[in-house]
Amino acid sequence: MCDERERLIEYVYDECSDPERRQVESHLHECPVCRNEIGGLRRVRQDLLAWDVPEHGSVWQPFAPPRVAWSWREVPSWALAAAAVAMFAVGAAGGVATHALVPHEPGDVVVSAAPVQPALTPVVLSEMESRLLGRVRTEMQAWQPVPAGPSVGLDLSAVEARLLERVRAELRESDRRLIDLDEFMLRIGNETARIRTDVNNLQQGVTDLQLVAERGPGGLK
Amino acid sequence: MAVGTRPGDRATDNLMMRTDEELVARATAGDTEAFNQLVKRWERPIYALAYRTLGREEDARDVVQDAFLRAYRGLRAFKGEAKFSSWLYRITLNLCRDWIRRERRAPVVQVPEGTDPVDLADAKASPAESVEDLVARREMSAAVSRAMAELPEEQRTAIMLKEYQGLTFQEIADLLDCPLSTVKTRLYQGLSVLRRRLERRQAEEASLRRATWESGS
Repeated sequence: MCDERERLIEYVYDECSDPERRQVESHLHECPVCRNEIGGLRRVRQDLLAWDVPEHGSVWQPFAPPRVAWSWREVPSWALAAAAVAMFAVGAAGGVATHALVPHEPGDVVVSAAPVQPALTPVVLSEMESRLLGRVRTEMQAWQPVPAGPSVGLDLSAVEARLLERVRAELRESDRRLIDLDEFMLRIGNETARIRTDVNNLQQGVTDLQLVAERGPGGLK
Repeated sequence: MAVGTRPGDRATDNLMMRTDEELVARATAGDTEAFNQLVKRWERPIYALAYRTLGREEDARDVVQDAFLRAYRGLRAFKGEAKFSSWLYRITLNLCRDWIRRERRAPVVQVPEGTDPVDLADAKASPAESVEDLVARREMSAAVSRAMAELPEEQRTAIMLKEYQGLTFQEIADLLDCPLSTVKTRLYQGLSVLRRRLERRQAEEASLRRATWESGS
């Protein structure tokens, strides 16, 4: 026991089983050296209690509760699509209305020499959308997965080729629509430039009228 | 809802009842309040460990902040194989070790301030404690911190985790990644060295008092 310091430590910290505790106590009864050792360990443990830690405030800046974030993922995809179409339609309608309300004259300034295209109205957009959806539906109906069977097997290359073709078609359609959108934006720019010219002309007219008012009917040269 | 109870109070009370494991799960899922609660629960023990290891309040504060930040960032990596507190102790000890290595020096022995009797009277832990007792306690505290600072790091860490953090032998072995018998040996050796040093100090003080008394008489 005198050579088994681990057992004394277990006893001092009360981390031994009951039989072990009884064994150590029985030994301590007979051995003054270990008794002295145990007494010394208990005293030093008592001394250790004197080492206190100064009082201190919290060093932690608590995390603020998270702000309620509006997530796009919570909105159904159909609603996002509808909102996008509505926004686009409103923009297009604005452009068309501007185009219809402002009178055109042969002498108007034209910023770009782009070829004249039919107006991109909501009706046209809707037709384009319907055409695209119709194509996708047709292709999906035409596409039949290869039935799996022990002798036939799955022709992955054919499936991949079809999928690739579909992706390419979608990309082409997407590119075409982007080009349409660019042209639409260009036309809006043209319309804006024309309106600005009209406003300038109007301002010039107002200035002329003011001069006439100041100088009388014969004052304007 | 009870009169005077705010909605947030009930949520906080609810969190206070949760176990560490539950709070960790919630914090991992993004509940920052759950992590705040974990900090509230473990800040004092972690600060005590850092202070006793480094010996200086401002350094201990920095380490505690860093330890909790690292714990927060590493929550997803915490698999729950050990207790959350053991994991936190390990992070803190590693940070303390890095700090000591970076500063290239031994832990500071910060002698407690307040030897002025008036200050001491203000700092009494309880009304029953006399100023003389307080002086003795402060001196013993300084002596213990000095003796601890002189111990090898392994022994000092084992004693701190056992005496001040109250971990079991097995928890210390897991935390320090060493055999159970090594923990017990480090504890025994460390306590034996401390005992000799503190007994010598007490003997010197007794001798000094006797000399003072004899020169006075």
